[in-house]
Amino acid sequence: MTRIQIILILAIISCHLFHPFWSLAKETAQKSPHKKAELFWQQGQELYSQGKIKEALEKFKESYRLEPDDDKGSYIAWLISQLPYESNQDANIKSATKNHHCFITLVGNEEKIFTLNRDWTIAIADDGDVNFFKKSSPLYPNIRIMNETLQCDNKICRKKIFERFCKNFSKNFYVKASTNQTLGSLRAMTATLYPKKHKNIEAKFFLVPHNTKLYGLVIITKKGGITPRLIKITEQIAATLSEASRLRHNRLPCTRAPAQVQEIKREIEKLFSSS
Amino acid sequence: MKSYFHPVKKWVILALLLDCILPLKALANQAESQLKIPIPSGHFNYINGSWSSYVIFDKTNFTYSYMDIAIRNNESCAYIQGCVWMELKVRLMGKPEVVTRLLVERDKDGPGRILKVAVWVEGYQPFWVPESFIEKGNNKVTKFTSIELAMPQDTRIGRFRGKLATLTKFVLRNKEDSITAYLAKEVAPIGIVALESPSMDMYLLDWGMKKESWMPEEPVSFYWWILNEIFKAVEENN
Repeated sequence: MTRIQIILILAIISCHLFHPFWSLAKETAQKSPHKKAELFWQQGQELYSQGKIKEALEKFKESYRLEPDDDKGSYIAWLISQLPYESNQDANIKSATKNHHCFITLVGNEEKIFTLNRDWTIAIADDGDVNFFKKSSPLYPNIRIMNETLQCDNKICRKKIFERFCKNFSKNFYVKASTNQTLGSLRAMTATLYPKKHKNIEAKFFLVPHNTKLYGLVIITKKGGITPRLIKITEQIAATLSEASRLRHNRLPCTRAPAQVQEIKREIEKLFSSS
Repeated sequence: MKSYFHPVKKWVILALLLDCILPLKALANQAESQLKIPIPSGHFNYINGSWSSYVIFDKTNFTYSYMDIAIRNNESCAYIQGCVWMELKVRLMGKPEVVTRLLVERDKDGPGRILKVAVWVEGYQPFWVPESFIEKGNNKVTKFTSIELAMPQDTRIGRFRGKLATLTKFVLRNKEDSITAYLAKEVAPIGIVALESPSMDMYLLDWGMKKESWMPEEPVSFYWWILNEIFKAVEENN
């Protein structure tokens, strides 16, 4: 037997002697919150692949509870926004969040993108979905502009869009919650987008303290629609919405689409739309 | 001195030893994390030196990744249609870059049987995958998925990514899949400009000719690679 073979045998023996300790260490590690969180996440992914979204969500939440992480939170927030909304009392509230697909806002044309101030832009989708975009944010190019025949280049035209938007909107109520960062924007939105002249619209802005943070909340509804009960309901969901909103604004995995993707899509669309 | 070990058993011992020393599983996961590559049937171009670069959105895992594919050179082999050396470079977010070099049988529909494979995982030396591994787990190395596209719907010629290209739109709808694909004959080797399916979206970033190998150095034999890694691990421990 050569010397190297003896060394190898000794190494293997030492590995096997070490094995019981290794197993014990492994077992302990598996019981750690991190491992448990990982396991829940994996189970969630499996359930999701089987189409059991609600069950998957429970597992994801469990994982997040054990190991809070921004990426996980963003994913959960995104998943919640994908769920079909139920026909219960807060259906309208849920509908307010249903279109936050990866923070990509579909807007009719460029005129529905309003510059709020030097830093912030609001994009309004046809279905009433409103999102904030910080101009310096890499998410800014994610506002997708749909082809629309209506070309808006003057105030009258813009007003028409506003009116159409408000008309569609007045049937329900809309809730937008946000963190400290966008409070100013929310205030401005309340003041800018829903002026008094829209008689059928009522907007209310108020602050909701939650944990150590302060969230802004805007309720927009038809005139007289803001009742104490509605305020109570919205306050209850404000924290959830705010958290989801905060996470969406921060790091949502599926929003990390490289800027080139939008460019490429536009190039193809342009090529095939021309006659 | 007479050795009591059969030559094959030495490798068994080495593998066991390796299992104790190296985080091989993690490495295997990196290699396995390669993407399924859709190959539109009948559109594959075996042009020496051609390469194309893609961004891919995996809708199951909600991740973006980059994939580059290249034809290095065609060569004659035991198969009638010949063989071709290909390279694939995959960058998944948060994971090291993986380059796979493959010798595959040329088939009119795209790459056929995989004959040789070398893998380079960022941070490690590239190595040749033993042939026995390829036979057993061919699909673990890389996954080519052939897709049959229906009749072309529309063709446009224009500038795409700053280059002149002839784009053809295909739509495939059946019970299992709904795929919209844009192909261009100028784009080799796989011809895809954009592909949107329920499981993935894929967009062409760039394409061209005459790119050098993406492997930083020539691959070594797998067993030599194992020994090297053992020595490295021992040195690091010391």
